[in-house]
Amino acid sequence: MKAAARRLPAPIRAVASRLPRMPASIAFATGLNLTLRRKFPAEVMDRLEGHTFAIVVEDAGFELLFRVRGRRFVPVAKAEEPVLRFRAVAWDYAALAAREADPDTLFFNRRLVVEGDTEIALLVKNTLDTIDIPRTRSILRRAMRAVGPGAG
Amino acid sequence: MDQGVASPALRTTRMKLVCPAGTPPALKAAVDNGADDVYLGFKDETNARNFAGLNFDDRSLREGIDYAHRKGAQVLVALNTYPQPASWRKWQAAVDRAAELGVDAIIVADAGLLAYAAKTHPGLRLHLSVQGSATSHEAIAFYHEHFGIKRAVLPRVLSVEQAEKVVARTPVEIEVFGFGSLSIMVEGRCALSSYATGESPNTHGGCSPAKAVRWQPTPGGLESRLGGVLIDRFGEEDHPGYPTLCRGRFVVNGDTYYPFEEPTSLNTLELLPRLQAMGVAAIKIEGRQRSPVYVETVTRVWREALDDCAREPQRFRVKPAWQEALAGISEGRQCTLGAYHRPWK
Repeated sequence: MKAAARRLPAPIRAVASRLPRMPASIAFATGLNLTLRRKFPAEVMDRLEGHTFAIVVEDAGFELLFRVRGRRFVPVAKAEEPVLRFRAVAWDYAALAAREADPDTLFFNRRLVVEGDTEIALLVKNTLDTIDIPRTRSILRRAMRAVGPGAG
Repeated sequence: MDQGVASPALRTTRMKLVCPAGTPPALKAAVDNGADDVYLGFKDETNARNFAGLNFDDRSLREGIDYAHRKGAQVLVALNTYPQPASWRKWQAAVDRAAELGVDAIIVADAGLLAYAAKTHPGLRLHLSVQGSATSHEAIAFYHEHFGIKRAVLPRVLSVEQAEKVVARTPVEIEVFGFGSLSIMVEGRCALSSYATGESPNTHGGCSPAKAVRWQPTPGGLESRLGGVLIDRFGEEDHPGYPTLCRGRFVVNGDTYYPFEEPTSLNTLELLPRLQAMGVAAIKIEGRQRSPVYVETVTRVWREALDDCAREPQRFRVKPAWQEALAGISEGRQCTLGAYHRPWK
């Protein structure tokens, strides 16, 4: 894995940074419900209940916000301080989701920043590591290969 | 029992590759990429990687054993923390669960637990954990005589010469660490982190329990704290490591440095021909807390290296591509030979 992160091209960054936040958070929460909700153990969802999470896509210049309520992921417009905030570029998030990158390595290399409750962060990380979503990962991997090499 | 020096000719020449798994996908990654043995733990403090969301319940372990056995790999369960009088039954039950689920061996540190396992499940293969802290052939002979251990994992405090002497004087298979994060390695006897967390890693299963860890961005850099104790402060160009006390940067007599250990990773690829020649039975990879991607990468590299070494040890060369792949997933910016290379010993 190379140290440099691949950043979104400037035109995409310009468009992404102007997108309204709420529709993006709605789409993201819907995606989580479709792909992950049933795969997260009930006791993990219960542990996350009521907490708000923030995903900062640094090169797109926006933040996705969602909360866990009633064992579902729901979008949030404006949050109180989230229990966890992740910061990375879009490419690295995709690489994590596709299981092309190791989260600890991204953390050691300062490409993934995690702020907030470490215990919940570890629970989320380890639970995500437990989940097999081969179709979704395969689509992501193909898409990443089509775009080009992983860093530069 | 035979306590004589084992003949090198009787030893297997192909070293086994023992890989970590904290989750079922990591187990599959290890098996699919050529691990001979996969080691893992239950979801509680009976093992030394007791972290939220990590490890196996009965169902996932049963499925993992089926998967590994179908592909010719073995599953070892680490029960390598020390039970206390009040919690004895929990560790006892963990031994029973492992035996009933059909694991291939358990990795145990506590003599009482070894005695229980040997008596209750005489057919269950026993490995002495690195947490058992047996650094001499006499110590290993004790566990062999009393509990019939079949393999012992050497603590990461011995030089190659010292490890060689142990291997030559014991009939027990010897497993050594090949790759992974390093700490001060006073295995099974270190209670340093308990000064910051109130919990001993030897009884609770972790040097840096997540509830005691805080990562805090500050104007001076990213701070890591353990139980409120400042472990390190990282500038933009610094690379954070796991926040344990032994890898902390402290002010000592006015100087700021790592008084115990700098965050580094062990990498013994270059020692493989020597380890093989001296009769080491198995190479262990650290990292049950790491992701399936880590397990996949490290298993693939070490499988290829071990196969190369077994085929033509005289012509064995460490490939730059292996080092590059391992450097990409290592903690810290440097890899070392750890205690294996101690010219002064």
